[in-house]
Amino acid sequence: MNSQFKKGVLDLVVLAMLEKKDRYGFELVSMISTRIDIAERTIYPLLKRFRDDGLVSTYLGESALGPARRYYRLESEGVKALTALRDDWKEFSANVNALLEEAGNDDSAIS
Amino acid sequence: MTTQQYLDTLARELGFLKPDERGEVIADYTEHFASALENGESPERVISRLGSPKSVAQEYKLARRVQKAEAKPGLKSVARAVGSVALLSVYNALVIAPLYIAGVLTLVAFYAAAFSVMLAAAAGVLALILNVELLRYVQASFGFSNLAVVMMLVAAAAVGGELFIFTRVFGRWFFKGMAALARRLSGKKGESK
Repeated sequence: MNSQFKKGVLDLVVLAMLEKKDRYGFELVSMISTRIDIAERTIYPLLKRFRDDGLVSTYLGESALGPARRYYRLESEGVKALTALRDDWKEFSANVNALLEEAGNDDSAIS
Repeated sequence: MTTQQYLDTLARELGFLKPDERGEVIADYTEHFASALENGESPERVISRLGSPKSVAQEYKLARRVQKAEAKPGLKSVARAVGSVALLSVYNALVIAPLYIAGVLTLVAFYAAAFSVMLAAAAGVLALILNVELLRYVQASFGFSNLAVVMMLVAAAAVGGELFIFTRVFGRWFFKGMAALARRLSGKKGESK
């Protein structure tokens, strides 16, 4: 899949992963990069943008070993952005699916 | 390249960020390397997936330029964002750069028109005050009274002023729109290996 497409949905994916639970950077990267391969190089710049725009905030949390981890928390602005992006995505993917199905049916002529 | 070298180079490449912002970004990557190591991944592998420090820094630079253009849409800030976005892909360059140049040229043309109309009105007032012969001649041949000339000059000044205001409004709207377009296109990076 081309990377323009993936980058576009990454905002949505990252916000969605922060909805239920605060997470740290590496956690987000490793969860997402198993399915979307550009995650590693784009997530940190994206998190900085979210921080600058007030969609997320950060705090330092404990880790079992090693240095303290920076956790990302979804703020109310982030929840708003997530809702909007999710609605867009649902509408878009439903439309694409409908078109793919129609394309599969040869006899579905334009009426 | 060792982890430390990578982070040092990245910090240098991020010189355009404020020190505290740069510190946060470096902290993100320091933590990333540490967590990857805990996970049994080698620094080489992490580096190969992150890309060069330069390419990482470019990602931040682009984001920053777009943010600046959106926060304060002006000739220079938007030109920078447009330039950065245009460098990402041929597609972007073909879409955004000509649009920006055409818009700026249109603005310049409108400003020039507004100024020349206002200048002409001012010149007319001056001619009236100084009782220039040419004006008297034109007046006589068309049969314009002094009052008619004054009214025409006022009308010209008003048209020039309105054109000026219109151009300003159009300019604001244009730069804001271009900044928003730059934001949209900033996600559209060509296939990077």
